[in-house]
Amino acid sequence: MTPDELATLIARAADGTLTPDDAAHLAVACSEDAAALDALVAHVSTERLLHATVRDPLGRAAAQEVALRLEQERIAAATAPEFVPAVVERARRLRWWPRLALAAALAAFAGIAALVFKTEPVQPAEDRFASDGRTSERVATPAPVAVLKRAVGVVWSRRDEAPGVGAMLGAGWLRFERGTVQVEFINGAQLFVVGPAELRLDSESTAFLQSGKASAYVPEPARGFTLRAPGMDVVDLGTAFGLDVSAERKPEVHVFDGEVSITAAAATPHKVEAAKAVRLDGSKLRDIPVMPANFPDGETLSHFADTEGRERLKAWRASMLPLAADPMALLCYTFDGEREWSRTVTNRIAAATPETNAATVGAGWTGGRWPGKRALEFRSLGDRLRFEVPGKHSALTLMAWVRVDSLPNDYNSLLLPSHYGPGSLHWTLERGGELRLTMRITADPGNGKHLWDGPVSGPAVSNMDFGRWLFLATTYDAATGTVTHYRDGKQIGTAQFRHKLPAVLGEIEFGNWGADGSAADNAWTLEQPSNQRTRNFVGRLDEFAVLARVLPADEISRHYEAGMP
Amino acid sequence: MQTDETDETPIIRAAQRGDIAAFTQLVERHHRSVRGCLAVRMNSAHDAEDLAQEVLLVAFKKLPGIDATLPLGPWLRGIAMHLLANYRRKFRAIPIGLNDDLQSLVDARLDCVERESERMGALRECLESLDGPARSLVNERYADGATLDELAARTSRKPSAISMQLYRLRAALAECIQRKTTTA
Repeated sequence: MTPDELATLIARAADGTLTPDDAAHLAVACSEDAAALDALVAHVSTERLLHATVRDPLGRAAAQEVALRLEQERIAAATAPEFVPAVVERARRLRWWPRLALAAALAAFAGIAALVFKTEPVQPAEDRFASDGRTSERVATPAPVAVLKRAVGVVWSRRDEAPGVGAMLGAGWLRFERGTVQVEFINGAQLFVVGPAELRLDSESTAFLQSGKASAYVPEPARGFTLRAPGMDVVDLGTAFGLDVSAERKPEVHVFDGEVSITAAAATPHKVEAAKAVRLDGSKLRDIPVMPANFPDGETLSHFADTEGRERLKAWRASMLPLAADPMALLCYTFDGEREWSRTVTNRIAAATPETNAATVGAGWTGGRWPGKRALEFRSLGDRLRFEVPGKHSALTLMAWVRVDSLPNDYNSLLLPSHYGPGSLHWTLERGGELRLTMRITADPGNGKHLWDGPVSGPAVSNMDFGRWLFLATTYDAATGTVTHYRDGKQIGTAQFRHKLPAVLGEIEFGNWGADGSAADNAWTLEQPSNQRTRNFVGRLDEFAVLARVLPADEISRHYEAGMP
Repeated sequence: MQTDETDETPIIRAAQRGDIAAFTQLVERHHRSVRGCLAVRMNSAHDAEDLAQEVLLVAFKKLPGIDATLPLGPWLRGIAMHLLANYRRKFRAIPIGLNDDLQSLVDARLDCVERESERMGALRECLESLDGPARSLVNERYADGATLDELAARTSRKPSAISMQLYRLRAALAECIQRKTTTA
């Protein structure tokens, strides 16, 4: 083997595109030549470290997730004695992995085979739909500077500006009348702000507090975090401090720990140490007594968040009763009250039969919208929720509370059927964040454009929404062919299907695609290129309902309000 | 026998009493080395992160039983290796190129890798010194998760050319890590 050939094989091994033939050659080379093995190991380990390092350079996100899970377990243990610690849940979930690993191996092999045998790629029908003027790039969004970690008891000044908890925040204003928010800047600084407040996020390490009371906790790597107030800049030198900007008083800085540097007007920077406080009086800084208890902190916020979360959960449970009693409801999965070991999700509608319960495959239990509320987590390639909805429906409403963590595939499954016939539906999120509905119009086994109606789509998810709870809903009325999409209770798109067929769900999956190509009706799915064959959803599902009637916009909006986290 | 306390002993003691804030501090100190140790040995960065979390959660539960005066790092590494061995026993990973022999050769070598956390730190520094085009390739490939085909399509090149570009990049980074960790 020449050095160039060896380099090519090592590159493929590290990329994950090594074919079995390549692998056999490389195994021989590495067992005969220690230097070849050294080079291979250097590439494989560097590749793996790159994935770990680039995604989360300081490991901070991962460390925080551990802390959060401990906190969630503690809350869950205190509020719901039957709640299973995540460790046990995870261990259970792991038992599904051998099957998933096999599925992934087959998928990987299919990918390799596609690389080796690929001739002229066949552009699939659904892709052609996407290319008729629709974006496949995600809608441009501002660069995130921070994440809204928590908002407790918050009344936003302008409801249409209200960001969702967990949402990434770009530069801009946060204005609220009361309550407390926790903002985590990308550089690691934490800011707790009590309303009424007006806070402007300027960059990943600077913000401007026009009014309100804030405390900043700045870990070592975020040193230099700057909080501005009218008339002064407070630069953190590795510490915790409070800033009080009230209308009736002059701005005050209270240093709890470490040291800050304050620049007021044109004066030279003034350092203030721990357990000291100053007030800006004209252009002078005057010493005042330090009052840490006057400022918000994480512990108090956690306490309020727990209390508020429990209240919200109670109100949501009450709000679900009318939906469950709706005579046109077909499915209502609340993920609330299932036994911890259960792999079955119960249909909560009044007229439910056991056949309409769902089975979770791979997906494990995780935290939902509130403390004590659970959700299903979809992470691995094989995770899914399977169920069956019999019949043909001339009207349909699909609703889901989801947390989208990423959109890795061209089409990310919300609902995809296992079998195809006239009226079968694809309810998906595109890579670009569009919520989309297409309908199969014939029983023809192929996949030409004329076999599909739609798509009807609307912009539902941007990068900034990853990690926050979203309410997605779509209605279909066969009488007029009208499809309408909603996000968080607001309409985001509507258009007509031309064929006006009744909708058929049948055997169907949330979060994945069970059409395995084994039946004549779904054999076409095998011809899909690998980037479209994989359609797993990555995120969480906290509520899912299907009704055989078209919910009007105001009812959808009310349902959203009742379920807002 | 009384041993010397480390600067971490008070934090460990607080965590042993169930103080989650104290344990969070320990997580912040040690997470990187647990994560690095698993990331190098596992095929999927996601699985490595999951297992790293598992290690820390198991550690939290076992913490009350340990001697708070002993260093925590080696103990955590022990848990990590133990859980990794269990994991490998239960869930056979997809071998490189579907070839078990090749995977065994690589695994045996990777098992000898040490100071992963230091290597991750060095890699972070090495990444900072990359020039513009290399930097954006790294971001597209490792932060955005672009496939070779996608990278090729964006630059109107063949996937094999991208593969070789990544090869050269990794070789340069591996050398940079080596340099930094031996001179440090």
